[in-house]
Amino acid sequence: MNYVGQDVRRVNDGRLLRGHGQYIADIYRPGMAYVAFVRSPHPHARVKAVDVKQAEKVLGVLGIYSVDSDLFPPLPLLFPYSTLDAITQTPFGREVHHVGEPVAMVVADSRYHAEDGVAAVQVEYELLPSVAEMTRAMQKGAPRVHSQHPSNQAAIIMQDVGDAMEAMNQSPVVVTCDIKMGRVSCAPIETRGLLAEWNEAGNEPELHVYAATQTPHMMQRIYAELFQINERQIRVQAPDVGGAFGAKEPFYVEDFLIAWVAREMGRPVVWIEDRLEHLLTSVHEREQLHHAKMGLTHDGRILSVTDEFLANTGAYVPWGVIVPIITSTLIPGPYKVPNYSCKGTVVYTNTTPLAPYRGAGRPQAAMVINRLLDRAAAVLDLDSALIRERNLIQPSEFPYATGLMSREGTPMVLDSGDYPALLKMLKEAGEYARWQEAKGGESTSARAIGVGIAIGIENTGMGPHEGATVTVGTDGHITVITGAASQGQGHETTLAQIAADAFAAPMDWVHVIEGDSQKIAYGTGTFASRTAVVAGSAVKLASDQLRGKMIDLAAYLLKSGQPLEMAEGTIRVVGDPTRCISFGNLALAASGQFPGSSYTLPTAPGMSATTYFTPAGATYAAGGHMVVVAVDRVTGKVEILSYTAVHDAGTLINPKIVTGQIQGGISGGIGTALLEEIRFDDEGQLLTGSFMDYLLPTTRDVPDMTIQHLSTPSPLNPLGAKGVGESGAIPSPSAIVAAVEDALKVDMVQINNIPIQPMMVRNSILKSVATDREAPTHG
Amino acid sequence: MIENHMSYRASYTLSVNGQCYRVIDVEPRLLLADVLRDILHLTGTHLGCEHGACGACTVLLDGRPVRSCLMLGVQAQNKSIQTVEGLAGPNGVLSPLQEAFAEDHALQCGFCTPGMLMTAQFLLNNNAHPSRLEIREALSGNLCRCTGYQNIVNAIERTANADNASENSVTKR
Ligand code: FES
Ligand code: FES
Repeated sequence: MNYVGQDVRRVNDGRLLRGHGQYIADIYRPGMAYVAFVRSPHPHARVKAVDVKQAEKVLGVLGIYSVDSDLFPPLPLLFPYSTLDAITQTPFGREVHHVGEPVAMVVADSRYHAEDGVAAVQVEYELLPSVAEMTRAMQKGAPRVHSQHPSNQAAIIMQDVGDAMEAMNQSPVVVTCDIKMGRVSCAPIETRGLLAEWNEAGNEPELHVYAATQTPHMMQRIYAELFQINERQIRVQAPDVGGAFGAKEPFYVEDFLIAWVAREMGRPVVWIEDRLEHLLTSVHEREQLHHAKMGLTHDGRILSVTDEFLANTGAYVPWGVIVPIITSTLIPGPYKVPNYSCKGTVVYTNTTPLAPYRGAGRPQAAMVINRLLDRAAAVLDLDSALIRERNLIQPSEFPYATGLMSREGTPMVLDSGDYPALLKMLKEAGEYARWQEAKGGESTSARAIGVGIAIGIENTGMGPHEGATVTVGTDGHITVITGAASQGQGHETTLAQIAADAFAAPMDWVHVIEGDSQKIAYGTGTFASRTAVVAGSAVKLASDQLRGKMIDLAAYLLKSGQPLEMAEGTIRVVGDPTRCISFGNLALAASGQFPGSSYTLPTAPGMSATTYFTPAGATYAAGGHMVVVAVDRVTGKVEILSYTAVHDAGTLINPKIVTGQIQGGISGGIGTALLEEIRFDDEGQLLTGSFMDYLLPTTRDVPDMTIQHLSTPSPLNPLGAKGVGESGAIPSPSAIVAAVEDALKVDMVQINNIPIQPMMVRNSILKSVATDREAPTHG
Repeated sequence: MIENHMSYRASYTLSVNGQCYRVIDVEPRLLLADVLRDILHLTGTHLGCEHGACGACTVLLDGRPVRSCLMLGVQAQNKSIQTVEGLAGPNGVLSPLQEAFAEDHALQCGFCTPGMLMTAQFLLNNNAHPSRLEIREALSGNLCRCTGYQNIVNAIERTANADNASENSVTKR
């Protein structure tokens, strides 16, 4: 039987369901000390003095470190870009640039005592002018976000295909769309955290870090740079991680400070972020303001798209300006846009830094192009599915050169897809025609119904590489080691399915080990919907290589020139299953068996293979969403009546897991569209510091969804896989906004801001009815 | 003030998953969640917010769901506490609810899962045949960032249905 393509049950679930998971906060080391941070309450200030005298007397406090302790270099820049004027965070810098930056840390024998210590630390600040809102930050005379830095502009991003201005001028129909997307938090239910311990007893110091991270090898490399030691001295291990969604991808100042203080103190030190700290200091995303235009022919074919946008990056650029770069390259999306120009201005503000959150700039891109198409459909009186059909890239046009440059600076080519089929499936699964009919009657009553669709694409499975080591043990079991780390995506199962197929072995003979820098030399990590594609391909390549070696050795040991096959953990002669050798005995033979004996086998010692997969380019996944909403025209509340999504993730390894990823992504998209917003006041004080103010979608906000799969295998990797981790989050906000606007057609309400809040909807309805009709009532 | 509350220490008995634990000489301000996790080493109960908002820390106290991040360990004396570690049967056999979670892929990272399980178990203990809406209502105070909830609702529904089926077969005999 083939495991790939089957709904195999996840191998890890029993442990997690019994409450036996090992998350970062569950790890205990003897002698471990606990950290709590003193954080700046000011968005921009110079730290004048830190007084720790009272705090040092607090029971249980073991040490206090602050801006006075040492001078540290700024964190390395993770993703350079030609026009980027990069400022990265400095651990314990003298000037703080957003609320929540650490200025001191208290180490104590318990978290309670560490917090007591924090309460007793006195910090004197000299306040500096600050700015939180990006439009204001770009105005003349705006406060400087970094006082040593003359401009608040971080980067300019330009994209050009054809002559967009000229084509726009020539277009018979021109529509515009202005939209501001609110800032959201990644908000995994497990916050960040790490535990660091140095061993100074050996020949050289060794650092061991457990971290709730998506990128253990990257952390290892950065530690090597910051501590000026070799990678061999550093082990970074991700235990069970309780979700990440981007929050656990960058390298933070706390990651450095905890490892540093563990060395200072000569004992293991742990820090677990609390929820306020998470909302205050873990990266945010989405915040962009777009002014877009589309020129079309009278029959609704796109001639030109132009877009100018502002992107807030907060006080620093922890992951370069990758988010606005992705937005700028993905606005055309699945549609043919012959002329395109885009100018993004990335702005520093005195707020929490922004970096990828599930979707990473793509939901914004999908919003821009899909909203423009809906505006055009309204002006041209075209059905919104029809205008999309007219503009989709056709299956025969792949590989499709977009004329753009990808984020690596190479031409951006879409590898495969069938967007018209995707749209067709979507309309059928979502009962598009029926809903278009059904919505009619009600639209002027208190409850208005609307239908929205959106299609988005996603560049997935990016490099540089991921590796896999596949080893057969003397018990015949297969161990798969990869550098990627799981935060709930179920790699332990999906990667095992790939290997089990390669060896025709039962699933429970395959064991996946991930997220440990000591187990495999190199790794990139889990983000950007890449693990199934890149690590999955590496597992396949390494397994195939090892399989070849096993067959060679078996042929030699069985003295057989006949064809061999693998079955049930053995290699046997086809047609003569009695002539066989078990995987375990092969591994034993290849180990050399007896110390001191001569190795005479024709294959190299060991039953192991390591392969790195380096994708030639991104593979493009696609998703189409159809949403039906009911808007209460009195209260402005939006209720989702029906949600349908069709996704192309190429070859599906485990459909149930893929569907789960999409469901989770859509849930995030619903949050982005309707509920979630991180808010600051004008100066940069956080107004949404708990889950009571920052609203995650609940069981009452996320409906049952219909998810279907269309599979156009990618030609760019041996599995044909495309990434899917982020895909659900991409078209969803746009489809929801479309549905709400559709419901409020009679009110001619335009949604220019997300999340769509009831108050906002109600006010715009009232504004519009004030002119000619009566206000809606429930009566 | 700071030194003040350190001088009080408390010792008390907790009953967790049918076992008696003596908590000795701790600060009375320790939250129930921290007592369970740090003193009793029952780390299955997770902390997602410590504000009473996410539900990850939910345990059953005398059969009713409470947020163990919002009450003190001392307040749980003389009450019976059930945590996620108490759901599986002897030898770790998964309970029908846990089994359904695995079958329906109702967990991804598993961090919200203990709270989900405890809340759902309370629902099923008190309403053997909940509708999907009732399930959603009952879980509306438990946040999950991974699953989008649908599979969690499915798993609870499956558990209830399986239960109905076994009840029916019992009546038939
Ligand atoms: S940790 Fe108790 S409700 Fe979130
Ligand atoms: S499974 Fe990850 S938060 Fe629910």
